[in-house]
This record gives sequence, structure tokens and C-alpha cells, in this order.
Amino acid sequence: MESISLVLSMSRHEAKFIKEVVKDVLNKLDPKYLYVPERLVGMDRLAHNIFDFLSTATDDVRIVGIHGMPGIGKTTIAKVVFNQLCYGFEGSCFLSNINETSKQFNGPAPLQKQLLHDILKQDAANINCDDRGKVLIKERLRRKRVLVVADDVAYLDQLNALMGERSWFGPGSRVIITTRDSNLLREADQTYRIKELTRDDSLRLFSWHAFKDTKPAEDYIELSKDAVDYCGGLPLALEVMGACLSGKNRDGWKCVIDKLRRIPNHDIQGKLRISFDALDGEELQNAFLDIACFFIDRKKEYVAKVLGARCGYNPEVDLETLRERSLIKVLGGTVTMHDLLRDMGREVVRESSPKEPGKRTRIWNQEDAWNVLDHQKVRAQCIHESIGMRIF
Amino acid sequence: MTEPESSRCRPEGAYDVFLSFRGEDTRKTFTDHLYTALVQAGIHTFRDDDELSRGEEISKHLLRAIQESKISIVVFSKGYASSRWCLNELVEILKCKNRKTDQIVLPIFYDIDPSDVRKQNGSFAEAFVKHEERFEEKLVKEWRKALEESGNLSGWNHNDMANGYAFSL
Repeated sequence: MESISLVLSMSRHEAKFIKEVVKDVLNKLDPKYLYVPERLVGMDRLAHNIFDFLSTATDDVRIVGIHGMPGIGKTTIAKVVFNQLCYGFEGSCFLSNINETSKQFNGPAPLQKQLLHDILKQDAANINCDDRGKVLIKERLRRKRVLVVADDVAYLDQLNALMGERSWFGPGSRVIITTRDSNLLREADQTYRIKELTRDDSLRLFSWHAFKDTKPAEDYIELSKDAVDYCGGLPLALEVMGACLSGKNRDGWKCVIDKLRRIPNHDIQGKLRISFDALDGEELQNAFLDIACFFIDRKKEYVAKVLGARCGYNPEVDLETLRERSLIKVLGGTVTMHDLLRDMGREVVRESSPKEPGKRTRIWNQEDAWNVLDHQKVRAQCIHESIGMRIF
Repeated sequence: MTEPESSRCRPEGAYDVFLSFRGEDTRKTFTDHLYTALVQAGIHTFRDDDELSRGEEISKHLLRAIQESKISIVVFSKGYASSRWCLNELVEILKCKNRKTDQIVLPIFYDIDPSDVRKQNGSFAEAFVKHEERFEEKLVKEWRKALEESGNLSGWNHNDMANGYAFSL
């Protein structure tokens, strides 16, 4: 008896093992699986817990909420879990930057469309109002076992437009919500707060970006510890500061750390701003600001073309520098940027003329653009000459 | 082999996965099941079927299959290192990986400790005693280096799974 059951359990184990291998191979072959940085520090355990909870087969619809401060790695964890789970469902969809997209398009319709399209693999009927979108989602997806990630939700309305009730998705579906505001997670079955990295993990992540190694170079150990202490255990700040300091000499380090010290711990944007200020040359800064205002999620060739037309030289080197400094990412040919870096860039532009958008170097939202063009017609010509180029 | 990588695009009919394994150990068992599962999932998989007809050198056919695959899966089993064909294959697979950034090598440690592969201990040590008698020092060194490198790659450990090891990407 014993030997038979042993054989049985071995073969069951093997079948499970092979299934995992196939899933991983599919993941690696499919270009749709989401990019996550190679060097992830201090995330394994949490990702594992969430994965465990969501991968347990049950017929209910399970909702997991991930919350924590900006730059702490909510989206990254959601991506890691999404990559591990996505092949086990009839359909899956990762809705990124929900708050920004909703603002940009004055409503959730494009997100509703994406949700339907990614899962049904065909274009949805025209969605002319949010309520129509809600009905479509409810009617078409309620029999489908789906995996949906709602990334960076800021208001309950945004969530309600995409998943008003659990019954909108079929039995066994799984939902992950990431948000800065834990109040939005009342419906969730489990919520996870992402904590700041420990000092050791912080130093490891920082060293990777500053030295391409797991620990600091000999002469920079103390300086690294100082820099890390001012990053408050935030992965984004650690990455950007590490990349900013990479290749600088000791004096350069001291100068940057001195600036960091003066910025209060909660002001992450202020800390990121140091890296912007450290960019050599106006053109490099301009390229960063242009991307922050206009070119997020645009194809790299397109961005290079427009930037090239403005600066009069090939901007490849500039884009590469921004990428090395971790201020932008180029993923699958598309230029992206963390939302905190984007907001920092837009703030740089905004503060040049807080009250009068017409005097700013760049205008990126519709409302400001209309106001400037409508109400300040007298200035229109001047705007056209000075900044018109930058309205795309 | 000498074509510049940048100008190359994947030819039609190229494989998604190249399977490297020791026929005697796993052809009829694990590798066969894995191959079937991969094919069923719609993954275009290459496995070398005529191990017996092999000559001294790796055939052009085999070499091309390795070069054109997106992923190479190497099933390390106890007898893997005793086959010089397996070792030559492994050398080619790693050459490809190191030349092309988008090629992935995934080792599976089938009933063998990754450190035995990396350091050529256990059954691998025995195999290398024989190799050192029969083959040139340079070749044997190349094999050792390849094993060391692949033992360091992250992959799947068949035994760990049985103990509830959660496999992560």
C-alpha cells in the first residue's frame, strides 16, 4: 500500500511541477506579461502571501487591497502577483494608473473599454456614458472567471465604474486594488499595507542602483548609509537617489546628501527634485519636463522625434541619461515614468507661474489650455511663439 | 553563427523552447511528460530525438534549433554530466545566452542538488573522472565552466516542490 501511494503522490507532484513550469514558460514567452524590475528587494514575502490567498481555488470572488504611501511599491507588487496568476484565468486585465487616466479623459470610459477588450479579446461596443459601460461589464463579464487589477484608485467612483459589485465578475474571479487611501478598501477580503524597507534592504536596493552591486563600494559605506537614511525606506527614492549618485565623486555625494538632509522626511517629491536639479544642462532638464508633461506612455521613436525637432540634435543620449538616472523607463519601446516623478516635473513647470497658466512653459491639461486660449486671446500669439510648440 | 544579432529576426518555424536532457535518465519519464505538456499548451518545443545517430560534433540542425529558440530548458539529472553530447549542447546554449540578451536559460534540477551541478560533486564528480581520462583538458574545462554557470541560474528544483517550496518567478 505504502509504495503505491508514494508513486501516486510523486506523479501528482510531478504533474503539478510540470504545470508550474509550463505556466512560467508561457509567462516568459508572452509579451503581455508585465515588466517588473529584476532587482526586487524585500517584496518576496508579501507577494507570496497575496499570491497564496488569491491562488486558493474557491468559487467566491476575492478582493485584495494593497495600500501604502506613494513610491512604496504597490504597483510593483500588484504586477508581480498578476504575472504569477494571470494564466490561470479565462481573462485578465491590468488597469494601470486609474486615477490619472480618469482625470485625463474626464471619466472612466477608456478604462471600462480596456477592461472589456482585454478580457473578451475584442473591441467593445461604443461606450458613450459611464452607465452604459457599467451595464456592459456586468452583462458580459459576470460568467467569466477573471483576474483584474485596479491600480492607483483615488476615488470610490472610479472603482464603482469598473466593479460596482462582486457579481459583475464570474465565480472564482480575483481582484487586486492598489490605492494610497485605505478607506477605499472596505469591500476587500484582505488588505495589505506595504511597509517601508528595513535599513538593510534599503542599503541593498540603493547599492544596486548606485554601484550595480549588493553592497556599497569600500570608500562609500558611510556616505551610502547617510543617503539611505534620508530616503525613509521608500524604494522609489532609494532607486532615484542611487542612480543620481552613481559615478559621482565623494564631494558630489556630500553635496547631494546635504541637500537631502534639508528636506523633511515626508516630502518625497522634494527629494526626487534633487535628482532633477542634478541633471547637467538645460536641455536634459527640458527633455525630462517635456516627457513628464506630454509623453508618458508614448512610443520612444515618437518622443525622440519631437524632442529632436526642438533641441536640434539627436536626443538618444539624453533619453539614455534619463533612463540611467531612473527618471524614466523605456519598456517595450514605450517611455514611462513613475507618477511621483511626473508630478514632480509638472510641479517644476507649475511653480514657474502658479496663478497664470499662460506664463508657464508647458500646458498639459485641457482646462488650462482652453482657459489660456479662450480668455487670454491677446496673449495667444505670444503663447504660440513661446510655448505653442509644446502643446501636442 | 556569424550573423550580427541585431540584424537577425526570428525565422519562421523557429522554436519557442529547446529541451536539453539526458535521454537515458528522463526521456521516457519526466522529459516526455514535460514535452507533452509544453506542446499541449501550444508551445513550439524542440527535443532531440535521435541521440544515437550523433557524431562527434553538434549537428547544424541542432545548433540552429538552439540558436533560434527563445528559451532553453536544461533538465539536469544524475546522468546528465556523463554524456559529452549533453555537455556540448549545454556549452552552445550558454554561448547563445551570453551573446543574445533576449534568450532565456531555465535549468530544472531533477532529483539533483544545484550545488552538485555547480561544483560537479556526487554523480557529476564520477563522470568527470572519466572525462578527464578521455578528453582534452581544454574541453573538460569548458564543460566545467558551463556547469558552474548553469548551477547559478535561477530555475526550478523538482525536489523542493515536494516539500512545499513555493515556486516563484
